[in-house]
Amino acid sequence: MSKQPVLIMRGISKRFGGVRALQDVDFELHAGEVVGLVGDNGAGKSTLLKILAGVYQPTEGEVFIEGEQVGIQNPKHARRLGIGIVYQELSLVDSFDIPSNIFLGREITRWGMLARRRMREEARVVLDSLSIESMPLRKRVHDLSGGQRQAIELSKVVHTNPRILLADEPTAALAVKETRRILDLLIRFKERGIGVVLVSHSMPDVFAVSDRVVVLRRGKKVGDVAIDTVTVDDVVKLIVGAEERSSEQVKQSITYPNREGS
Amino acid sequence: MHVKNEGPIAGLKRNLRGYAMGIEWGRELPRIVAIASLLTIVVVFGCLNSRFATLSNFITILRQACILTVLALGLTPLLIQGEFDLSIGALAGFIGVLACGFQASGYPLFLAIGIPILVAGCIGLLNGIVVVAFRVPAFVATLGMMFALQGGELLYSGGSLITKINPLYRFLGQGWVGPIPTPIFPMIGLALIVLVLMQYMKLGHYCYAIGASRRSAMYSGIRVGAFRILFFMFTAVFAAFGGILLTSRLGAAKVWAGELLLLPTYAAVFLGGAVAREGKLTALGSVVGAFFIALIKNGITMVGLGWYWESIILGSLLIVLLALSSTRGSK
Repeated sequence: MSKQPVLIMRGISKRFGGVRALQDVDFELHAGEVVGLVGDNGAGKSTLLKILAGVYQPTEGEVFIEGEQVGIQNPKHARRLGIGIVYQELSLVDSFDIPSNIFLGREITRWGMLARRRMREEARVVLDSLSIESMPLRKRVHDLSGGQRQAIELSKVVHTNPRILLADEPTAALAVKETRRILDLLIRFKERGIGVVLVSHSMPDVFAVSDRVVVLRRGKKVGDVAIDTVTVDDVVKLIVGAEERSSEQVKQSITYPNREGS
Repeated sequence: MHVKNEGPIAGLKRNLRGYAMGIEWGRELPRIVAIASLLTIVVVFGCLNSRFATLSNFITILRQACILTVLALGLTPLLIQGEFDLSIGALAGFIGVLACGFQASGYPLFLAIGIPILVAGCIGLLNGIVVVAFRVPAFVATLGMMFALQGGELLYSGGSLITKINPLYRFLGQGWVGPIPTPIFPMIGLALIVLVLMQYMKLGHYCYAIGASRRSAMYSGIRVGAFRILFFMFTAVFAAFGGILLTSRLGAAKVWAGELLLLPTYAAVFLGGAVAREGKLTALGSVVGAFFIALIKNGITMVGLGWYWESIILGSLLIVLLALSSTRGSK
C-alpha cells in the first residue's frame, strides 16, 4: 500500500432537492487497498459511488485523484480518469461471446475491421492473469452462470486498467462458491495495485477482503476503521446506530421520526 | 468414420441417424419449415407454369430482385438495432419521383441522383431525431413520415406521370451489361458494403450490441443515441437508391409504386432471418430473402393470380415468419 492516497474525497455533500443524501463525507482510498463501504439502505453508499462514477455531481466538496483535483463530468470522463465501475446489473451483451464482451466499446480494429483474433488472444491473457479458468472463449455469455458472468464483467473493467475500481454489490446474486471466486478476483486486483471500493451488504464478504471499513449512516460517515481492529458486531452497531449516543446525535435523529435503529 | 464389417447401407443408416440425432429439432424446426416451404412454393410455381423455371425468367427475377435487395439491405441494420421504419416504401417512391423529375428537367445525372439522395439523408435524420431526441416510438414517427412523403410525392408530380426519361437514367434500371441486367452491379456493390459493415466493422457490431441490450451498450461507452440516428439515415439513403432504381426500371415516375415495396421488404428481411442458422437477421440473409420474395412475386404473376394476391400471400408469409422468429427467441 502506498503512502499517498490514490483517491481523496473531502467534505462531500449531495442534496437531491430537500433530501440530504450525503453530508460532509471524507473518504480516502490507497492503491492496493480494499475498502468496504457499508451502511443500511439509504445511507448514501450508492450516491457516493455514483459521484465517483460521474453519474452525479457533488453539491459540495472536492475530489482528488492522485493529488490532482478533478470534477468528474460523466461516466466516460470517469473511465478516462481511471475509475472503473461494476454495476449491480451487469453491462454484458448476452448474445456476444467472451472476447466481444470484454472489449465492448473499446474494440481493437485493424484498417477499420475488427481484429477478432487479437481480441481473443488478449481476452485469454486477461482471464489467465486473473486465474479465471474453464471459460471457452467462443461460448456466448448468455450460457454462463451468474458467477462466471460477474467474472467476465470484472475482467472487462480490469482490462481498462483502472486505478480505482468501484464494485456495487458484486456478489449479491451469487451462490457461495461463486462468491468466493469473485472475492478472490478482488484480492487479485488489490495485488495489482488497484484501489477497490466494495459496497456490500454481506459482512462476511466485507471482512474477507477489506483492509478498512467505512460506515455510512443517513448520509454521514460514522466509522472509518481498520478491519483488524473491529468485529462484525462492532460494524453492525455502527450501521444501525445502536451504540451510546451523544446528545448531538440524539438531536439529529429526531429529524427523522420514522427511523430509529432500524 | 469406418466401422469394421459394416455393410454400406448399415453404415449410411448409422451416419444419417447420428446426423438426425445431432440436430436440435426444437430449435431447428422453424428454419427447416421455412426452407421446405420455400422449395415447395418454387416447385409448385414451376409446375403450374412451364415458363417459370426458365433462364430468361430467372434473369427477369434477378432484375426485379435488385430493387428489393437494396431496400432490404438498408432496413436490416435498423431492424437489428430493434428499431422500425415504416416510411421506407414511401421514401423510395418520393425520391424516385424526385430524381425522375430532376433528370427530366435537364439536370445532369449526378445532380439528378445526388440531390435526392441528400434529401433522403435529411429525411432519415429527421426520423432519427424524432425517435431518439423526442422519444416518439419509431412505429408512430415513421408512419407519420410515410404519410407526409406520400403527400409530397403527389405534390411534386402533380399526380401525373413523368415519362420523359434520359437514356442514361433509363440504362440504370433497364439496361444490360452483356447478358447481365445493369441494376445487379449497384446491388452487388451495396450488398458487399453492407455485408462487410455488419460482419467485420465496429459499426455493424454495435448494431447487434444495441439491439441485444441498449443499457449494456450505453454503460460500455457506446453512443447509442447517435448510432440510432445514424442508422435511420442509413436506411433512408438505401431506400432512396432503391427508389431511383425503381423509377429507372419503370421508365416513369409512377405514384404509389414505392409504397407497394414496404411489405415485400420486411418479408425479405425476416425471411432471411428465418432461414439463417440462428434466426439472426443478417445482411446475407436479407439478400437471399429478397431474392426469394422477388421469386414469389414473379411466380404469383406467372400463375395468373392478380397482383392483389401478392399482398395476401406476402402478408401471411410475414406473419408466419414473425411468429417463427419469436419462438426462436431472437429479435
